[in-house]
Amino acid sequence: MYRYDEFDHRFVMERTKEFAGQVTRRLSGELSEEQFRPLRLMNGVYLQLHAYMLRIAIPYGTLSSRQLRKLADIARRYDRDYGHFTTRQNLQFNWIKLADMPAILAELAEVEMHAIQTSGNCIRNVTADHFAGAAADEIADPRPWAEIIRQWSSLHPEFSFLPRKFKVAVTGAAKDRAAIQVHDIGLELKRNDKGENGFAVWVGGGQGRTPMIAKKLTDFLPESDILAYCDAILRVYNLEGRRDNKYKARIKILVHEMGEEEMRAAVEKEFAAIRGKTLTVPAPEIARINAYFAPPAYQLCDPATPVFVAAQAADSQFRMFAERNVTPHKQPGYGVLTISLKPVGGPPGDATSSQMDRIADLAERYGHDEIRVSHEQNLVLPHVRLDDLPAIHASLIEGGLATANAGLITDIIACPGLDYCTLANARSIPVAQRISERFADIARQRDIGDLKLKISGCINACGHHHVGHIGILGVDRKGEEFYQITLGGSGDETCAIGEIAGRGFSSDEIVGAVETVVDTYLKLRQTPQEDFLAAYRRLGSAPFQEALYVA
Amino acid sequence: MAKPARNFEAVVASANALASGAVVYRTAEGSWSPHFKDALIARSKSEAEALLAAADGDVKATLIVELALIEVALEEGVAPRPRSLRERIRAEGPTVPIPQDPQPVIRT
Amino acid sequence: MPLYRNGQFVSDDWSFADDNEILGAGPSVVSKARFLQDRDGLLARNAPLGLVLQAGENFTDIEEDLLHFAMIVLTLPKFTDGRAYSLAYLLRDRYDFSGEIRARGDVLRDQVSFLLRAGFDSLEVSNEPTIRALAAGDVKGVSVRYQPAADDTGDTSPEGARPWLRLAR
Repeated sequence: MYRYDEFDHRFVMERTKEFAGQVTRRLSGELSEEQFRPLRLMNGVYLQLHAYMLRIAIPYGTLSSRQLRKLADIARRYDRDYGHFTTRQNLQFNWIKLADMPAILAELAEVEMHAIQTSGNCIRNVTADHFAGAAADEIADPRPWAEIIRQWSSLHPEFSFLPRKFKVAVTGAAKDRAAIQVHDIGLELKRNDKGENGFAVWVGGGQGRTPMIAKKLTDFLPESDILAYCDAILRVYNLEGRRDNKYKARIKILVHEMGEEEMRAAVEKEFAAIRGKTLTVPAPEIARINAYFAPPAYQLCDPATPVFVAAQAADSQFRMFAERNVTPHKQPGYGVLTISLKPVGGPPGDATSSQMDRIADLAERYGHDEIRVSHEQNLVLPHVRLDDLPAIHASLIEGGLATANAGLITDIIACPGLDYCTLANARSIPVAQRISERFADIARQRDIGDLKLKISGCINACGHHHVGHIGILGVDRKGEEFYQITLGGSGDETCAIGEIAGRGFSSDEIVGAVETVVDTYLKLRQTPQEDFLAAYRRLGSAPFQEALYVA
Repeated sequence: MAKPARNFEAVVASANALASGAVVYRTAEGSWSPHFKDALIARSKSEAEALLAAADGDVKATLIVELALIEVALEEGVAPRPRSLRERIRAEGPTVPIPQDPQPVIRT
Repeated sequence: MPLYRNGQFVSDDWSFADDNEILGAGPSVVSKARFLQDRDGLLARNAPLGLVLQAGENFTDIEEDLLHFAMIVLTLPKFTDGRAYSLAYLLRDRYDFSGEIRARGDVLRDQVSFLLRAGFDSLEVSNEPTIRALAAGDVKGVSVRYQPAADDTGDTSPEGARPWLRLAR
């Protein structure tokens, strides 16, 4: 993984010191809250319902054991012994004191971490496929590019006061696990028939109040041009994006209002003026960054994986775990392990300090010292020997981390909702808990199969409900929580925005409504192999609406 | 059942402490308490205005942020409570338990 | 209003004229509307001419004339409105504008290093703590920069593979 050089270290140290100064100026009264707000947001500090929240950047979701242990340590000493992994591959602490912020950031800097640009109207932490560098279906590793873009976007003098936040996601596989089509810029790293790497560049996707699927501005941009091209997009957006209405300020609205052709022309014109200059990424730099992401020194292993095979035969619990939570790896004998943070009845994405420590230990012992955060709010050990999995599984059971539900209906994405968030209109976590309890029976979950259920507590859509196969949006209706269901959304390469099924459901009704949708699918699917999304696409919304509202 | 028309909702002054971010309520003594039960309840428009004006001094003194008056439900025989769910959650904490380590599991 | 230019506070040699006011003999700054209305007359004057762009105004219709101005003033209506940064960048990079680019409006110390790097060289500042910080030279920001600046004169380029990396002198 990437390691800071002297410049990176100095950058984070100085930025941490600068922010500490801003905190001091706020506490002394030199800065008003109005002046301080944009400054604190640019460093990931929110004021939420109960306390300050600190959002820590985990660039493209990649962590070392040492970093994860530091997060556990901070949770233990400055927070309430847990942290929340987010849909943008970051980590949030919910109970932080402003006065402690400088000390926490100084500790993070020791392990090459920070909270720079995890909020605010700037280029946010760059996300990537959480299986990057490991997945068998990968064409090229997206992380070096995410890192190059991360550096370029850090404290950018021209692009730190954009009309609105700006999110970039990168994938290097045809199977899109990074949801690039619902990002401000989505990049698909690909290889042409001459064997050269380049990017398909998507612009103007997003969720929130006005969900939109991105437009592909170019199908193949040479990789060395990526910074200049992003620079061009950002300049067009910074100058032309709407600033009169924050709900219309994202680049998706600009793309929508200009139209795809005009947007492409504006970007190409700006790109032509800067192409081939300072922002061209030189081959030695591409090689230098790529070297940080070289595959780990894989251990020798028996490709027949006898221990793994035997454990599956002997232990049905382990077999079910392996079937759901292990994904094929490039390297024979290895697998990609998803550690679910979605225990039945638990808050999605939360991990206690000791759970973080345990996962750090496992990564160090069995996983080449690497951990990933997925946008689905789980943790991933990207490189584990299949024959080590029984031992890992046993440890995960002790830590309450062995839930074998990756990709199943209880692997729910949920935002913090009204239990923590000042923006929320309704609670998300209790709904997620009740749904996972209703579907707790693992045999039933496995029968239902792949199903992405996503819950947001307000229209900002942090819980990605627009791209849930089943999405739930919490709304406030005269002081009462109501929940709207959307169906047929998808955040992958077949990206689709879910369709609203009809009127909302009360908090008491929503779990039953989800069950009705699922039962309708089970009744109408052609074969058990036809998953929910495929069935919905074949059937349309009518039978589900009928079951929900007529029957 | 429709609520009787009311000209004025009873309110308390709430804010977050600047340095800690903790939820606090303005007391009758003019201090700030983390407990809703300690809050001074304003029962008229003029009382509410006076409460807000007094509390606002502490915004300028950089003791608190996000000062707001919040509505309180006053019912016979029941302790006063914030009227909205959001404010009840602020007063009483998340409605979901804080994550804890799981109990040790003995594998069978 | 205190004017900070090239590292120090100086007295302002420019006068800002209302649209219907008769210009004095010295350096004068006019609005875009006035310039478009009286282009030839203004360019024929025998004194430096400045242009002030309000928030939301851009170079449309005056692209060909930019180099006639000795100063261009860009308005920051609020701290969080970042359009002027791109306009300043374009002036330096695209139009080779070498005159003064001035920021007026809501200027806080925390954005001074960004403004200077985007191509501004003078700032009208009313915020007292910002004036103190500027006077003390305490506005360098973070000295490691991952981007080239419109004006790189204050920076060095370290050895290595990243051509965009800069260090403050």
